[in-house]
Amino acid sequence: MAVEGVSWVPRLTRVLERVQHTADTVSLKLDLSLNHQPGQFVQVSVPGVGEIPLSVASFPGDRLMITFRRVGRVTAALYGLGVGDSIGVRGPFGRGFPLEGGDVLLVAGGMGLPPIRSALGSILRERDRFGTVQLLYGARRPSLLLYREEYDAWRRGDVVVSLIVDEAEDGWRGRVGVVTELFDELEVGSDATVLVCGPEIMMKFVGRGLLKMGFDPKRIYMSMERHMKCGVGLCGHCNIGPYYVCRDGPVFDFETLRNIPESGVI
Amino acid sequence: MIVGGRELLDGLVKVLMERWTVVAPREVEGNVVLAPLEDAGEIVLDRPLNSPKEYLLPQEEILFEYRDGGFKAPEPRGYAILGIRPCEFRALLMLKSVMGEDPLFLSRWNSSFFAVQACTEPCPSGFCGDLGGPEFSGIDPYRPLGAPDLQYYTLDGRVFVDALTERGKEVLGALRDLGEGATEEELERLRMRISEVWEDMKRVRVVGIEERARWDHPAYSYFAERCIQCGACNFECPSCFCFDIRDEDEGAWVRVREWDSCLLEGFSKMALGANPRKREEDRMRQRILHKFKYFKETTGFYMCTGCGRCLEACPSGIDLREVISWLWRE
Ligand SMILES: Cc1cc2nc3c(=O)[nH]c(=O)nc-3n(C[C@H](O)[C@H](O)[C@H](O)COP(=O)(O)OP(=O)(O)OC[C@H]3O[C@@H](n4cnc5c(N)ncnc54)[C@H](O)[C@@H]3O)c2cc1C
Ligand code: SF4
Ligand code: FES
Repeated sequence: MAVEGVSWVPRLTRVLERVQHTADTVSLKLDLSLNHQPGQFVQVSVPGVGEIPLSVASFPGDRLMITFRRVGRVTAALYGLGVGDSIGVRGPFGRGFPLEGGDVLLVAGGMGLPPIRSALGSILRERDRFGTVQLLYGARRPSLLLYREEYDAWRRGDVVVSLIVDEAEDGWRGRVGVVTELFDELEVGSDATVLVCGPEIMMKFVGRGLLKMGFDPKRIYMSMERHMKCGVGLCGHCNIGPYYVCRDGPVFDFETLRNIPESGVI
Repeated sequence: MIVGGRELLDGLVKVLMERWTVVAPREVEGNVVLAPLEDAGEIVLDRPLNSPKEYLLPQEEILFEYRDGGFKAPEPRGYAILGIRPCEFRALLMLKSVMGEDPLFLSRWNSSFFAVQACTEPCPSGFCGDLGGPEFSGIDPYRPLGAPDLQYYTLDGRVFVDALTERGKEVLGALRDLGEGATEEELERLRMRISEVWEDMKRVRVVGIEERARWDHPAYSYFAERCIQCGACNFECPSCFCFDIRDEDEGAWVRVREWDSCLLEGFSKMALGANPRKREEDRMRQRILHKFKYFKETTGFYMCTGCGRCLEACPSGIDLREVISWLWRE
C-alpha cells in the first residue's frame, strides 16, 4: 500500500534565508511551517527542473529548513536559488526516528547531520525526558563540519558533542580518524537508543561496533538512502527487500536491515 | 449467461459505445492490437500484441501543469476494455493494489468497464495454471480484489457472455434480444475446453516459488548474462508499475511520469555514481525477487500472473518459465 491520498501537486513557497556552509553546501529556510517527525524527509521541487528527497533539518513546528550538497541537476538548481525564489514542497514523508526517552546516542557522518539536527531539536525541547545525550559527528575536514555555530548551544543543552575529521586542517586541535573511533568517548549506556545517518559504509561499521559493545540491534535506527522519485511508495525506485525506503523508512532498525542483503549495512 | 453468434459481441460493443470509448482487439495494418474501436464490427477474437496496462497507466502522462499562476492536475477518464485475458485482468488488479492511491490511476480505474475474454484456445507462452487459470471464475484466487464486469467465451463459432458484477448484469440485460440461454450440453463442452486449456497451463508451477528464490541463486547471473537491458519485458508486463518522473519547462512547468525499468542501470543510480545494483545480475535478481518473493510476502500475491508477454517481448530469448524452472531445480 502506498501513502494514503497521494497528491502530485506540491505546495509552493518561498526561500526566506540562504546560508552558505561550505563551497558546495547550503541551507535554505522556507516560508512554510512543518510538523514532522525528525528523520522524515520532504520532496523538494525546483519548478521546471525536478524534485528530490531531502531530510528535514529544522525542528518540528519551525519553519522548514533543508541543507544539501550540490551534486547533480536538481541540487545545482536548488543551490542557485536566492531569497524570494519559489520552491515546491510535498510531504513530510516516511517514518522518522523514535524518540522515547532514556539515553540517546546520535551518530552522523558528513551530509548525514541534517536529520540528526532535527532530532536534537526535539530532544533539546524536552531535555528532561532524556538521560545522557551524546552526538558523534565525523566529516572529511574541519571546514566541512555542518552547523558549527550551533554546537555551543547544544552543549549548553547538556548534549555531549564529540567530533572527528578524516583530515586535519590548520587550527584543528580535535581528533583525526573515522567516526567509530569516537566510541572510546562513549558516555551513554548500551541500553541507549541510537540514531544513525551517514554513508552506508559508515553505518555498517557503526552497527558492527555497537553490537560488539552490547547495544540492542532493535534500538539502533539507521536512515537509508536510495534513488527516489515519488516519495510515497508508488514508483518502485527505492525498493529494498520487502520494503520501500520512502514509505517504510527512511529510518529502519538495524535488526530489520541485517536481514536485507541489499541494505548495504551488513 | 447468454449465448449467441457474432452479432452478440458486436451488440455488446455497441451498447458500451454509448457510454465509453471502447478499447478492444482489432486489426491495424495486419497486426491485432488492443486499441480504441471506431466501429463495433472491428472487434476480433485474437489475442492482441499489447497488454492493457497503457489504458490505466499510460506510458507517459502529465501529473500536473503550472501555468498562469496555478496548478492544473488532469482528471482522466477510463475506457471500456474488452478482450483482455484473465491473466491480464488479474495483472491489472495487481497494478491497482499498488497504484490504487494514485489519483490519476484511480480516476481511470473507477470509470473503466472490463470485459474479459476467457481462453478457449491453447496459449503458447502463458503459464497461468497456478495463478487462476484460463477463466476468471467465481472462486478465482484474485476475486477478493475485484472482478471484471463481464466475461465472454468463444467456442465453435458461438459467443457466451456472463456477468460478474451488477454493472455487468445491467449491460447483459440490454443484450437479451441478441442471444438465448445456454443449454446444459453447451455449458458442458465449454467446461471441458476450459479444463483442457488449464491442464496445459499447469506445466509451469509457481506456488511456493518464493521459498526457492534465494538471494544467492545462480539463476540471476546466468540469465543476466544474456540481458541487453532494453526494458521490453517490464514495458510489456501488465503488472510492472515502476515509473520515472521528470520536469519539462516549455513555457510552463510540466511534470511528467513515464514507465521505467528495473533492469536499466540508471534505475537505482544515485548522485555521484553510487549504485546499489551496479551489476546486471543485481538488477535481474531484483526483477525476479520483487515479483516472486517480496510482493508475495507483503501482499499474498505474486506480481506475475503468467501472461507470458515478457518472454514474447525479450529480444534475447530470456524465458521467464525457464527462470522459474531454474529456481525450482537448484
Ligand atoms: C530520504 C533521503 C534524504 C536525503 N536528505 C538529504 C539531505 O538532507 N541533504 C542532501 O544533500 N542530500 C540528501 N539526500 C540525497 C539527495 O536526495 C540527492 O543528493 C539528490 O536526489 C541528488 O539529485 P540531483 O538531481 O542533484 O542529482 P542527479 O545525480 O542529477 O540525480 C538525478 C535524480 O536521481 C535521483 N537521485 C539521485 N541521487 C539520489 C540520492 N542520493 N537519493 C535519492 N534520489 C537520488 C533523484 O530523483 C534525482 O533527481 C537524501 C536522500 C534521501 C533518499
Ligand atoms: S526484454 Fe530481455 S533483454 Fe530486454 S531487459 Fe527484459 S530480460 Fe533483458
Ligand atoms: S520513491 Fe517511489 S516508491 Fe519510494
